[in-house]
Amino acid sequence: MTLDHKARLPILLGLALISAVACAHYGFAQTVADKTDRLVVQQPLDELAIAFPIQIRKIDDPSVRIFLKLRIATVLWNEPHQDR
Amino acid sequence: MSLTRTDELFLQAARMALEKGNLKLSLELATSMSADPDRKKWQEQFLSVLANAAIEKKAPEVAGEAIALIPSQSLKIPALQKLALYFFEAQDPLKAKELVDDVLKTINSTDEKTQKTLALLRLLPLVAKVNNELIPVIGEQIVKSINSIPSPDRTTDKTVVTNYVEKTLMPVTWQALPVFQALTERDENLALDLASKILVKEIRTSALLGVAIARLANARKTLNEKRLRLKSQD
Repeated sequence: MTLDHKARLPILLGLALISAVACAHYGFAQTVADKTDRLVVQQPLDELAIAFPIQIRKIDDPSVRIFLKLRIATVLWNEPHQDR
Repeated sequence: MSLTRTDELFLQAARMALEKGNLKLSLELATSMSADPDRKKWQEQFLSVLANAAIEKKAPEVAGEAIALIPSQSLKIPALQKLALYFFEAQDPLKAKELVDDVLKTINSTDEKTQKTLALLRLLPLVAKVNNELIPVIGEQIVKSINSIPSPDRTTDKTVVTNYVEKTLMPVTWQALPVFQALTERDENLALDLASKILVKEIRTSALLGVAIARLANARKTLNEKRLRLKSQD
């Protein structure tokens, strides 16, 4: 059985639509997974880059403050760029 | 010949025997020195060098004898720790545990609070290897020891405060960070619980920073493992 051109067109369009929706879902799922992955690292990173400097500011002794700040800087410096 | 000259010759001979690798003779010569308090200092310094050399040359019995003769705790504790590690690596966990107990006893006999705290902090990585069950106990002891260190009032003499910062605060802060980092890698809840019990703000922040650094490392490790797993599935 063969289909004429007019009948083939909606079938092809339907198939294209289905694949587009599936790909979008796959892409969306992957993006969500990537975001979740990044969050796993982002949380401790934020703790180091934002929460700790505030705590350190409250320390009276400058030598201790500098030591702790340098330690944080070393850790952040070694972090891969894309997760910053 | 004067007593000092005789002692100098004994020490020199002990050094030569050690250089030649004759550990037993070296120990015998070193212990032949007189009981003069000034010479005792030379002797214990040498005995500590001899103990370390004996461990490196795989002669633990000579090391043990030398360590037993060291009166100073600051020299005895690291040598005992090294010997415990030697036995652990030589697959003799019982002897290693026994030596860790000896180290702990020696540390607990120390009156000086800062030295005691530093010694306990330095002991924790060895305990983690040799006797895992002792970690919470030593951890609690560390916190108790830190909290018992007297801190000067900021309004007191500036030299007293500077001395406290240089000799106590900085060394303990410096030592606490990697110890709490390593502890978090093994048991995050315990490390967090112990760190939050520290009353000295500076040391507590340092310990908590160690916990946070280890958390980041753990998160990164989990993520990398996941990525590798996904890659191998593709």
